Amino acid sequence: MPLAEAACSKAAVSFHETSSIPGRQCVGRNVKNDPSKISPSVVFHLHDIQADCESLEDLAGWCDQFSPLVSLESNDFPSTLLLEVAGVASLFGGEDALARRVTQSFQQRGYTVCIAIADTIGAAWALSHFGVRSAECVVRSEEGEGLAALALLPLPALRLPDEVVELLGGLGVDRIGQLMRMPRADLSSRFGSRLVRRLEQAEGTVRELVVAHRATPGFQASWSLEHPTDSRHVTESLVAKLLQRVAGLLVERDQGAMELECQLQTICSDGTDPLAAHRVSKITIRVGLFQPTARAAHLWELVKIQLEGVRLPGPLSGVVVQAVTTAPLQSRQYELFDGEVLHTKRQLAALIDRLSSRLGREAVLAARWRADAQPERACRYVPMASGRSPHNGRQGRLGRKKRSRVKSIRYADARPGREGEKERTLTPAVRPLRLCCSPLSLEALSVVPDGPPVQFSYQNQLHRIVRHWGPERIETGWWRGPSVRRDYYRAETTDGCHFWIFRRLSDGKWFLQGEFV
Amino acid sequence: MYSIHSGSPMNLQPRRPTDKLSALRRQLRRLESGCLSVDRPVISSGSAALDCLLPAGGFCRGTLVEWLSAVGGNGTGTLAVIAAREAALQGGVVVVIDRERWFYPPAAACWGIDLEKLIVIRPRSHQDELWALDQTLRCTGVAAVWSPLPVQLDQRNFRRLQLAAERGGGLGLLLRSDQVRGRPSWSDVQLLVEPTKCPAQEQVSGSFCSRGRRLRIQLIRSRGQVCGGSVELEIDDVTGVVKSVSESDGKSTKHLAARLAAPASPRRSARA
Repeated sequence: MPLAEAACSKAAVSFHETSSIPGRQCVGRNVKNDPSKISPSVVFHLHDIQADCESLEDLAGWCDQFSPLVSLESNDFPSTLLLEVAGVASLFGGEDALARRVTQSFQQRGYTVCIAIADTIGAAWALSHFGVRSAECVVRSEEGEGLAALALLPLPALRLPDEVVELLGGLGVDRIGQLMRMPRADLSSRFGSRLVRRLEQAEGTVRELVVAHRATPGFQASWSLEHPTDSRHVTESLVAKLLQRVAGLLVERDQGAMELECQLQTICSDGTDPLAAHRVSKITIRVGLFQPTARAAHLWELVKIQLEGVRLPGPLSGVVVQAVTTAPLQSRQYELFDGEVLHTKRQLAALIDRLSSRLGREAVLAARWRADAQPERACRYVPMASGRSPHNGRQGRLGRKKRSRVKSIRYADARPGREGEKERTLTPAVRPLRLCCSPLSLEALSVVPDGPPVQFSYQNQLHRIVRHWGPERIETGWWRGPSVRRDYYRAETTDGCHFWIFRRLSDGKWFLQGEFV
Repeated sequence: MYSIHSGSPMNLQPRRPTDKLSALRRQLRRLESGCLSVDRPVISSGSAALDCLLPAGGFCRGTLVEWLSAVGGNGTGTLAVIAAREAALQGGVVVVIDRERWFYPPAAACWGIDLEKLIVIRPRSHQDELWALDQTLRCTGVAAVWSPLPVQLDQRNFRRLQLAAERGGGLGLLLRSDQVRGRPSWSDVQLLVEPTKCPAQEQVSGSFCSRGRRLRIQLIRSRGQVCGGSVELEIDDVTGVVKSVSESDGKSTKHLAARLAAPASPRRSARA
């Protein structure tokens, strides 16, 4: 379940998805020196910043019901929503009632929130992050009492860089109240203008600029049939017509569809049940695109691939076509001699769209490195055609990162430790092309205890090992979950096949991890 | 002298005898095979020795190449990955059709495939697999398609794949079982890969061996060409270089008398 904190002010309501879940902090502190303290029930997930931002934007659009001005925190990775509630609270029966309403609404969506209401954005942010004592809490500072509430909070509540907080902490300043008593001119010269600006923004003596979040307008077209039809030809004509309309809307705003949804509404024609005769069932066709496009013909081609496989349960009563996710169309000045390159890129984008449309987005994937020593987790797959493209959808995934032409031998650069970074070097034959998702148990024999294997049995066949390479020890950190400790061997058998097997160090059992096909 | 290859009366530049000979050879090949692949650009297989074995000096763009092997884990896929890497050097992406979901991209990256230019497709059924193969081979932006393919593949689908490759201009690298050997095929080249044993003195234990694995590649079919030759290659684990065993040993491994005793009899391949 997603968890969020919130705090309040008279000028703004702020939410932030918490990074201080009590349980999570507790895990980190207690097990740092003793990995065995990790409970087996603890499930670890990678933090997806991009997904967080997208969810927050969705929530910002949804919060329009509480305030006419909703904005996201202005930094690279916003984690807080700001709502202007001045003059609005009376519509909800007061600030307390508004806070309760917001809390309940978020609860219904599965979020736990803490709300802070204060005179300024800075004070609301500070109270929401550091003034609440538990989740699902409302903090409201009365008019003019915001400064007193702020004075008790720690310095990070001012949204200061870590190094400034650390420096001030070294000088014995750890509360905002202490800062407030210091001369501003000296603070500015010693710690930079940002410190004083944040302080004054929190106090309300300096205005803070926020950019209102505006949800993108809907690109939707629909058609209701007075008389439902069974005709396939009519269905296809309708969908094609609506796609043209949506494409027209997209072109007007210089947008392209990244994710398209086509909903077919049918009336259930089960004659045995008269009540069920009016039941409407909906069939939804979803199309994800590799690059934004507003070409109706291309969109129709992708929808048609799926439409051909759809069997309507009854006569068609209506069609709704909507571009769920859009991105600005690529505009590029054409050059005289790059016609072929552009054509090739377009062909490739169209191919990915076609494949994704028929096979599903999860079947057309790009592989990316992941910083994990465990082989089966060293790679992650990203759908090529996504609902939302990276970097605001300005371009697709292929070619996002330009690299120089691959040389004939470039192996030393091939293994980035973190995504996009080059860190370690792997020689070509240290990883097998065929990898088992989950290692297969083997019966292996070693002459020396904890030594290399001399033979193993796999698929009811005995393999004698004539050569081996290794061991290569792979261990994972405690923070990633139950730790993995293995000794890997590349083994050549008598028939010349190469296998990648390992011994689990915790119990000495042998497993097959892959084959060098 | 006139250019026989183009046949154009405007092309009147004099040519060297070797050029003329190769042009004649291409002309003959085209007449024999009845396909267009002989005029297409050639992609290196990643090994000079294997290139010498292939009639065109490499793999022709817009063709299918079948890599046959009896068992898994014998290095067939690695050779195909190296060929895909060479194809991608001239632009385009590498597509892997992985229906059984075992392909491991980091290993391909270790062999020089740029992950930014790699697309992995995971179809759920054999029908989807063939459709994806057809679509990817047909696309001009695809440099090579690497795909393990089951034994059962009817001639109509095979022909469709060959036409798709011809239209797209990429390279179709199909990994298949050696059970299909002798069956009609629409691939341009059919190679049989067999692992060979290392000499006993090279069997070392402990850390990495200086030498890699050895494979014997046999050209069992080449569309409209004489075939039947073979080459023994060694893949260096450390550098990734693929070279012939004789080259790596610094001397010819086959004695003349031995070669005379067991000649590789060239034969005409069965037409598809």
